This record gives sequence, structure tokens and C-alpha cells, in this order.
Amino acid sequence: MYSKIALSNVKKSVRDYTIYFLTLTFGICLFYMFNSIHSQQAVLKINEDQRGMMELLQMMISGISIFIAVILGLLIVYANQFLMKRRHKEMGIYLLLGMEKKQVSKILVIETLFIGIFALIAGLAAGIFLSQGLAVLTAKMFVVKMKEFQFVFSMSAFGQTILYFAVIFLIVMIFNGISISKCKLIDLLNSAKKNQKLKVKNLWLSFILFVISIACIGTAYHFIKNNGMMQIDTEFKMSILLGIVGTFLFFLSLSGFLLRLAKSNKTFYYRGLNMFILRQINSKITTTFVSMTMLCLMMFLAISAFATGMGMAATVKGNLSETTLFDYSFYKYNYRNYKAEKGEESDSMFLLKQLEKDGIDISSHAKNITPIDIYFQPNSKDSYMTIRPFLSGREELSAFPKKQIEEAKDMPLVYIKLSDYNRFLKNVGKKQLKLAENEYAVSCNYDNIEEVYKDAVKDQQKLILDGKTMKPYKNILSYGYMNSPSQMDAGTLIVNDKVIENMKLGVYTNYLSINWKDSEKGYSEKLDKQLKSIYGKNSSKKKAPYNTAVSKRGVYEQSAGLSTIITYIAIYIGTVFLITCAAVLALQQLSENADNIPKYRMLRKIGADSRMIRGSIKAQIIIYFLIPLSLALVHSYVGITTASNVISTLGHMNIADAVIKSLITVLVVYGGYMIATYAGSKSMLK
Amino acid sequence: MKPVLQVENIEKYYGNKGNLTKAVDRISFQVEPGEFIGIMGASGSGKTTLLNCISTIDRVTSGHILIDGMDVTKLKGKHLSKFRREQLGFIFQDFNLLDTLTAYENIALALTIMKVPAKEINERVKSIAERLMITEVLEKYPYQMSGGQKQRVASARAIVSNPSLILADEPTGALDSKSARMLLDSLDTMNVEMNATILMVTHDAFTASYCKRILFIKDGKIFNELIRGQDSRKQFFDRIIEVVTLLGGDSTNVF
Repeated sequence: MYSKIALSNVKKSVRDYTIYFLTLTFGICLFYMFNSIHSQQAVLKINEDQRGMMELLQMMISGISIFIAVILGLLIVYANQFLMKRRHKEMGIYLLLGMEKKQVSKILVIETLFIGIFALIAGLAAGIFLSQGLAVLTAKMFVVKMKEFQFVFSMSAFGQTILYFAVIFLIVMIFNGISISKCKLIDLLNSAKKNQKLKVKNLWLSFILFVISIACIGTAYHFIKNNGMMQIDTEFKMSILLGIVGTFLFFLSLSGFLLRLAKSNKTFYYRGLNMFILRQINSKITTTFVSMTMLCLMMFLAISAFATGMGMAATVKGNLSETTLFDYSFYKYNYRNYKAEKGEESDSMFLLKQLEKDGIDISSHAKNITPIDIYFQPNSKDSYMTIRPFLSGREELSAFPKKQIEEAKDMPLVYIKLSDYNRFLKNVGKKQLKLAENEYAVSCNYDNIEEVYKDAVKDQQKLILDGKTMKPYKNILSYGYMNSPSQMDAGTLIVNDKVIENMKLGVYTNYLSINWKDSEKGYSEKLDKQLKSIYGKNSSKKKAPYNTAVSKRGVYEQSAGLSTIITYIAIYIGTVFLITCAAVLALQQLSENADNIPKYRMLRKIGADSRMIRGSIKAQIIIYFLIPLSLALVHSYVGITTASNVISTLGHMNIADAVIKSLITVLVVYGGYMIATYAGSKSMLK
Repeated sequence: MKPVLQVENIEKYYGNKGNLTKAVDRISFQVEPGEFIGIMGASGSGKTTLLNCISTIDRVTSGHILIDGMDVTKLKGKHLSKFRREQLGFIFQDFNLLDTLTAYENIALALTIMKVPAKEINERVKSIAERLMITEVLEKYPYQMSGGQKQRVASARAIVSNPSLILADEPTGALDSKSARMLLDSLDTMNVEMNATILMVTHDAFTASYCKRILFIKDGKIFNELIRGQDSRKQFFDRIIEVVTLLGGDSTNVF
């Protein structure tokens, strides 16, 4: 009998439940989809390294899933409390008819169970269906081919989803049971009539609080800009703390402040239903500023995660053709002082000899080999040996925060011999560089510092090297002279060989880059295996003569994998947060409007026409949705611009594209919920 | 003088063929400008249905209702709302004030939806408030006011737009006797000093004794009519009680 009542209740309140139900279904669907990524390996043609990437992705997703489950759990608990409140009278009648509280809560438990099971089934079905599409997307992002089509089903994701949501629903049931057992019958029956007690707030108090909140937020922005998100120090922590406090005070005081502002414009305030709309919103925000603050912060996280994630994904993937001019590169970090006799160990070609001595044949497969030695003067007192002359006075041109620029000024300048550089240019098919005796050239392609060097070249920045005054070559060079995952040449000077020899410089790094013969383009893969078997963990433990090996293929695969991981995580977190926020706002507005039906009836009686009433509902919904979003957008703007500096340490970042993508997503999701809320509210009036 | 309200032979049926209820059964009457007319009847007599039809909240099955010469049974949609806000004022039993607005704003609301300029609103609200003695509660919210004050604010809202007709549905229903008396005095002021035409539905004889004329309704038909004339309120009250007794409202003569 109870399940019959419960089922008919669910049917009756379908309208109240629709948005909640859809959100829940979508959440479960996403949850399953992202957790099932692991099993997509079955249909993708991937190699060992890419499998590792998939494992990493899976690991991160399952970690994040716990967090996501908590967020969705909170949504469910909150929405449930909300929907219960709307039905206090119904429960009161059950109790009045002589049902025991236990029996009433049994009805509620069964109802929750019904909704939960329906949502779970629908969500899983949608998830299983959509994860087929996700597999195609993964294949595209990993740049791999798919094996023949095969239905992807992940038992572990399936089980995990059911387990997590079963726990959540169990908690909700307990909550409901407790809340009903605490209620008094008289309160239940009268709950519809209860007026919210309005807090009459002082004009000056809300004004002062508003000013304080703006000051807090401003200071938080200032701190985070200074800190640049580069390290977690007091400034960073203060910024977060002040941001939260400021946001809280903002919503606490905003409505009072806005109301006074609107009231001061009498023609606006006393026109049509404006007065009513503003008062409604004011009363709503003064009672929900805590959840407003939470929603705003969550939306801020969602938007930031989404935009920076997308930006990062694009950055990681971008410009690879310019950073991988070779098929293969070896790095060796030397950091050695100058030695009078030309030590073989400081020579890049020595690296090649050692490799071949260990039985790795490179020369016979190579079309050309490009050794480059990077020189520097360690711990030099001479400021011309550091970046200082370039950075001084041009601090503003770099996107780095001031503190870091100051630290960077004492970093040593690094040099390449002109002969090495010209060999490199020849091997990659570029035009040769010619320098006069008193000229130096700058090579740089690192986004955050490039402008500094460009400006220095334009200014004819002088340097005194080897006792001679040197002027810069007319252009800046931006070729990557070794393979790297991103553009990270933060400034290298190319000078005539004689200058370097005379200055008695130490060796910083050796690069050895190789292009294979046209007939042996796939040799990188073989070399990878060979290196692994000789120097790898499980081998005879020979010490590798190099520090890092970077193949073109590896860079491409890693970038694609990394970019996929970041994109997926950004979408996962961003979407779940966003729909959760939008759903809470929608539920709040729907239940608010349901409570307000008598008010609208009264307005209609005293002569407000349907258009005016519909307009007032629309205005309330739009304003109520936009208030937390607007502040979240401002927060995000600051967050994203700061974060983009960090990201640009990985390479050139096209943040605008990512921001536009995330803005469109936010608008579509948010707009959808807004329209659904309006449609729901409108139908209540009929 | 042209009557403010002409009710011509109206009928209102509920239900379907098998089970027809005639809530209003061919009622006709007229209200002249400046009248204070009461409609009395027991529960279920059809008085609220009649009021709903006159206030255009409900539609008649047949017949015509003319307010200020305009046939309201033929109005629709936007015109109906416009007519309501310009020609009618409402006072409800449970006040129906908006709890998020102050008393001042509740009164002003009737004017803002008519798009009266803001400057004029202030003058009109203040002057009405003074006459109904609610100036001191203007900045208060409904939950800070007593029932009597709330109902006087509602009265002020009803009259502030200078309607042709004010419709009051059991205005003293939710008030204690002292507040009821103060409210009725206010209605009297509105009627006598501001020349408002008021139509009030009530089942309380004391409340009805403030009217100048009373229509008694039973089973959807006009049963009797009383005119106060030169009687004192006490005499009028006694006559009302007689009719009420006859009507069976107080159960002496029902057998």
C-alpha cells in the first residue's frame, strides 16, 4: 500500500521533480561515462606509452569521482530537503489521519528509492549509450585509430556508479527519516501559511558591508595577481580567504544595497511591478545568501576549471611542428666550469660516441646529426653574464609576476657557437646566419619572455662580451634547436666561436639531435626499445650517458594524451559543477514561485495583466540566475588570466579560444535551466 | 444619475447536465453612485459567486453586468485587466497584502500597475493614509501590523486608484470586534467623505448595519431588500436580525 501511495506521489509531483530528475540522470550519466574510459582500451589501437597515459587518466578520474560524488550527493540531499518542504502539508494530513511517523517516513523512503532507481537506470542507460561516442572522441584526441566497432561496457564503472549512488540515496533516506520524526504536526499543517520573517536591514549597515566586501574581493584579486599562482604562500592563502569572505559579505549586503539604489530612482522603482520584483528578490537573497555564496564559488571553480583546462589542453597540443624539427634528441645536463684542456665530456659528439660504444647504432641510420653545446658562465659577478641587461626596465613586458622577474635577473645568460647554430640551420633546411664581429643574435621562443628580447633587439641593447661592445642582430630567431614538448627557449645568445673560446665559458647543456634517413623514418621506435633494454630499470644497469631522450613521435603522443586527460577532467568537473549549481538555482526559483502563487493571484485581482505577471516572473528568474553568475564570471576572469600565466610557462596559450568555448557552454547549460525554470513557473500559474 | 452597477438577470451554473447547481439564479439589481450596499446570505447562498462575477474574476453563464455603462461580461484578456485596475477596488477577507512590501508600497502598487507617475503616487498615497489614519504604519511591513491596520491598508489600496466601485468580501471576517469597528468607520469615511461606491458581502449583521441598503440572498435568488433610510444604526441592526432570522441563517425558522 505504501509503495502505491509513494508511486502515485511521484507521478503527481513529476513537474516538481523534472529538473531535479534530469540533473540527477545527467550527473549519473557523466559519472558512468568518465569512469568507463579505462575499458575503451578494448577498441583503441594504442601502444605501451599511450596505455600508460590511459592508466593515468583513469586514476585521476577515479580520484576526482569521489569528489564529484560528494558534490552530487549534496545536490541530492539539498534538493530532497527542498522538495520535502513543499509537501509538509501532505505529510501533516497523513499524520492527522492517524499514520505513524514511521509509516510516513516509509512512504518518503520508498519515494526517494523510486526516484533514485529511475534516475540510476536512466542515467546508466544514457551513460552506456553515450560512452560509445566518447570512445570515438578519445580515439580522435589520442590520434589513434579504432579497431572494428565493438560495444564498450565497463563493469567496474557500472558497479562503481551503483555503489556510490546507493550510498548517497541511503544517506538521503536517513535524512528524510530524521527530518520527519522531528516535525510537529501543527507546523506541518501550517507550513504553507508561514511567512518568512523579513530581516529589516539598516541602509548604512548594508552599504558599509557592501563596501567592505568589495574591498575584500579587490584585495584578494591584488594578492593573487602578485602571487601569480606560482607558489602557495601567505599571499595565496590570504587571497583565497579574502575571496571567500568578500563573496559572502557581497551577497549578504548586495540586495539591501541594490534595493536602496533602486529606491533612490523613484520613477524606476514606482513603475509597473518593478517594486514587487525588487522586493521579492531582496527577500529571497536575504534568506539564501549562504547558498548564493556557495553557488557563486562553485560556479567560479567550474568556469575556471573549464576554461583553464581547455586552454591547457590546447597549449599542450599546440605548435608541436615548430618544437620538433628533429626525429630524435638527446639532452645531457653538464653544468661544468671551464676547463683549459678541451674535455671530451663537454662535447655533444662525445655523447654519440658513448652511445655507439654501448652498442647503439645511430650514425648509419641518420641522415644528419646535429650536436649543439650550450655555454654559460656559472656564478659570475659580471652583470653582462646574466639576463639583467635584458630584463632591467622591461619587467612590464613579461607576463611573470614581479617577484619572479627580480629573481630571474641573476640567471646566467647562455650561448651557442655560431658554427654549431649554422650546422643546425643547414640540417633543418633553413637559411644560414651571418654575424659581424661585434654582433650577437638572440634565439628565443618562450612566450612569457619573448617580448622582452624583441624589445631589447629593437633598442639595440649593448652587451660587453670578451671586452668588446656587442650589438644585436636585426631579428630574433625562434627555431627550436632541439626537440621539446613546448616552446621553451627562454633566450640563447648566438655569438662567433672565437668570443666563446676567449671568454672561457663552462658547459651548460649538450644536445644531440638526429634526423633519420628517409628510408628509416620509423627508426625512433626501435631506438626507444633499444635504449630501454640497455639503460632501463631491468637491464644490466649501465649508466646512461644522457639525461633525457625526446623523440618526435613521443612528443606528439604525450601531448595528445596529456591534452586528452586535461580536457576530460576539465569537462568532467566543469559540467558537473555547472549543472549542480544551475539545478539548485532552478529548484529554489521553482519552489519560490510555487509559494508565490497566491501573490500572483492577488496581483491579477487588483488588475495586473498576464503579461505583467509573466514579465515579473521572468525578471525574477533572470536576475536570480545572473547575480551569482556575474560575480563568478568576474572571479573567473581574474582566476583565468592569472592561471594563464602559469600555463603559458608550458608554451604559447590561446586563452581567448578556451574562454569563448567555456562561455558558450556556461550560457547553453545555464540558459537551458533558466528557460526550464521559467516554463515550469509559468505552468504553475495556470 | 446613471447607476454605477447594473446587474441584469445573471445566472451562474456549476456542474454538468446530470448534476446542475444554480449558484446564482436570475439576479438583477442596480447600484447608484455613492451607495454603500451590502449583500447578506448564509454560507452557500451564492453571495461570493455573485461578487466574483461582478469583480470579473468569474464569468456568468448568462445575463449582463454593466459597470459605469460598460458590459464587463464581454471583456477579455488585457481589456479585462485594464478594466479591473481602473474601475474596481478590492478588499479581501484575509487582507492579501504582499508580505515583502511595506504598507506604503502595498498601497502604491495599485497605482504603479496603472503606470501613474511616481510623483503623483506619493501625494495620493499620503493623503489616503491620512484619511484612514494609517500614516504611522506606512513604513512597516505587514507582519509588523495588527489585523485592523492591515485591513485598513488594504482599504487604502482599494480606494487609492479612484475606482468606480469598491468590492469588499467579508472584510471583517478575520478581525476582532474592535478592529472591525475601526475598519467599518474607515469604510464609512470612504463612502461619505470620499464619495466611494462600496459593495460589501458579509454574513455578519453588525457589519451589515453600516450599509445604506442590504440585499438578502438565498439559494441564488434575491430574497429580500432592506433600506436604512432615516433609521439609526441600532434600529437598522434590529431589522437586519429580523430578516436573518426569517432567512433561517440563525436557525429558528428552518422547519
